[in-house]
Amino acid sequence: MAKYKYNETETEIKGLKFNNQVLSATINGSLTEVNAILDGNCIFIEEAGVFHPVYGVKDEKDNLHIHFKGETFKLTTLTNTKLSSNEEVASGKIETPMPGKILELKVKEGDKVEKNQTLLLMESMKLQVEIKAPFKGIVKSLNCEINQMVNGGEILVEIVDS
Amino acid sequence: MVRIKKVLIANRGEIAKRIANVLLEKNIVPVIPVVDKEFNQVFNLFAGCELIKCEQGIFLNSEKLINIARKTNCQAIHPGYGFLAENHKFAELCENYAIEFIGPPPVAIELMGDKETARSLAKQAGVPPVPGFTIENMNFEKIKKLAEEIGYPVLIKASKGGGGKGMRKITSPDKLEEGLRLAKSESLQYFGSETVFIEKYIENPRHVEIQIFSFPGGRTVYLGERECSIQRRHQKIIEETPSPFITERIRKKMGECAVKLADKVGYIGAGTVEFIMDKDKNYYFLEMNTRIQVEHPITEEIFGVDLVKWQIEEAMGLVEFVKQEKIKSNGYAIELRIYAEDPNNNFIPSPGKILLYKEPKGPGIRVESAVQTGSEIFSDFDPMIAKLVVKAETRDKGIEKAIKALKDFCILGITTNREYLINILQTEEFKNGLTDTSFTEKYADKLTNKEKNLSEKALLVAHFLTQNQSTNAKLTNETQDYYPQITTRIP
Repeated sequence: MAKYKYNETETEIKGLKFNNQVLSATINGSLTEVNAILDGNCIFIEEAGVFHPVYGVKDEKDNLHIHFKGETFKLTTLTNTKLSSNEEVASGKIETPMPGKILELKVKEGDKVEKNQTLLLMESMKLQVEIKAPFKGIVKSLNCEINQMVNGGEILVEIVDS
Repeated sequence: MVRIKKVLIANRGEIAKRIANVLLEKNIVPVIPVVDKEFNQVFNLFAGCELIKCEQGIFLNSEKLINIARKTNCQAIHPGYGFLAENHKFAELCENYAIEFIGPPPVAIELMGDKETARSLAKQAGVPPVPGFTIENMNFEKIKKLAEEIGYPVLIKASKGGGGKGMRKITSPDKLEEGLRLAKSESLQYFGSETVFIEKYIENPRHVEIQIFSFPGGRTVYLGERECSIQRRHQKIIEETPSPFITERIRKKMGECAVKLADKVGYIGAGTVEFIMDKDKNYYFLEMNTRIQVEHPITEEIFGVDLVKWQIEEAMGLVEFVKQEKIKSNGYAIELRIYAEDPNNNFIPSPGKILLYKEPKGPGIRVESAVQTGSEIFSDFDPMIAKLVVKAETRDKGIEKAIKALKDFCILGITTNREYLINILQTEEFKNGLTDTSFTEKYADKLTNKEKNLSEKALLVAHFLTQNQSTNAKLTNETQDYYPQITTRIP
């Protein structure tokens, strides 16, 4: 869950998912979906068939800076619970953020893990992605193998509080 | 012919890079002093250059610069603009050490640097300056009387000044005394001299300047004009050529005046004669800038020349003379200066780290800058971070192209005047060429604090892009390809 503020407007984003080039989340209570294609440091999104790049970056004070269609916005982050402690994963059930291939498993069932420890590496759209532990705990189950193809939203690892 | 193998660039930022690129083309090694704290963020912009780590203040330290030039075996020094570019003593010092100063002869700098001398020379060259007088050993009653003869409003300027510093507009005689006092103290603070100058204030003039180049042997040519009327607090922000206001006949007259003035002082190299123009197209001499100017690229774009290269070739004794008849322009060019400042907050400077930097590209688009993703913009340097230069066939097309290029120019992390520039270009008044120096004040309401709506979808995507970026993200130069979560690109 994250909450941003721009001018006087607050926006709350929950339940982020990226699957088959569709980015979805519940924004201020309603489900929003957008076609999105990753391109290095930006993402192109579709609006009525037209693709526009969105550039986004955070500064040291956690402000979110966005460049979109020629305009620049600076948003304050009110609350930001990182993906690693998202509601979906707060339970310890870690999902694939996007479809791809499992490259490497860094832990096995029963392992003790520290917060932010890398659990596995996956490849998606020619990019290597690290999946990290949301909190300190023990790996309860590991539901994937090397070279396995996975979809977005699959539960890969389950961690329980130790 | 002077053998030049190495040249010291006594400057920083975009102009240092611009000069370095020309030198490298000619197989000359650029030697560039770099302030310590900037070193790590600029070294990769100056590939092939000899970089010398220096302390802050180096660009104003003649002795040290000369020492570096001598130690590194430089045969010449290019001063760029600002700093010591118009300091005749520095030019003389170079001469004393047999180092070629890439600029006009010291005496030309000195003559033009003094406002009063420049004015009388301009008069002799047939260029009328704005009516006015210098205040030296005058009692207040005399000043008051002379000011009244000129007629209010009047403008008080620092005699040694430039760039808008130490300038004050006085609307009535009762404000003269206080204005004088403040102008004098500003003049002393910025230029080390209390001498000020009073002249007639021309209501809403345009600022039009003529680019000249003097080839050896007193052969000076002019390369059209630049209109630089879009200013804020006397600081230029948009320059264009040709001016939407002047005619071919006036261009020729002004050009010939500028040439005459340059020849009068035995000028060499690139220079600019600045004029102000009233609404009836009467023009008055303002000053001559004896250096390459910030806005030189627009002239280069439409005339198809490289003024910095000409300067360097001139110093090498290799410049090829071009006759006035051969100097022909083609199309239209405009320059937009991108500053690290906040237009919606009284234009306060906005130093900080550029977290993402992406320049627009395409035919007719030229960006002069020396920053990149990860660059820190320091508050003690000039806030100009880039110049966007756009060329097109016509003014209308040039404005359209400039708006598109500004929209594509992504600078995140610090606040800039980028959208403010777009707002200016989008006004009907600008499109109709109604540009005078009061423009930014007159339309201030239209240009700042515009309401913007952020698309939820864009926010969602930006959130996704940055969700795993740690709060204290240490962004480095590699952030050009920075993407959160992603650690390696698989080839």
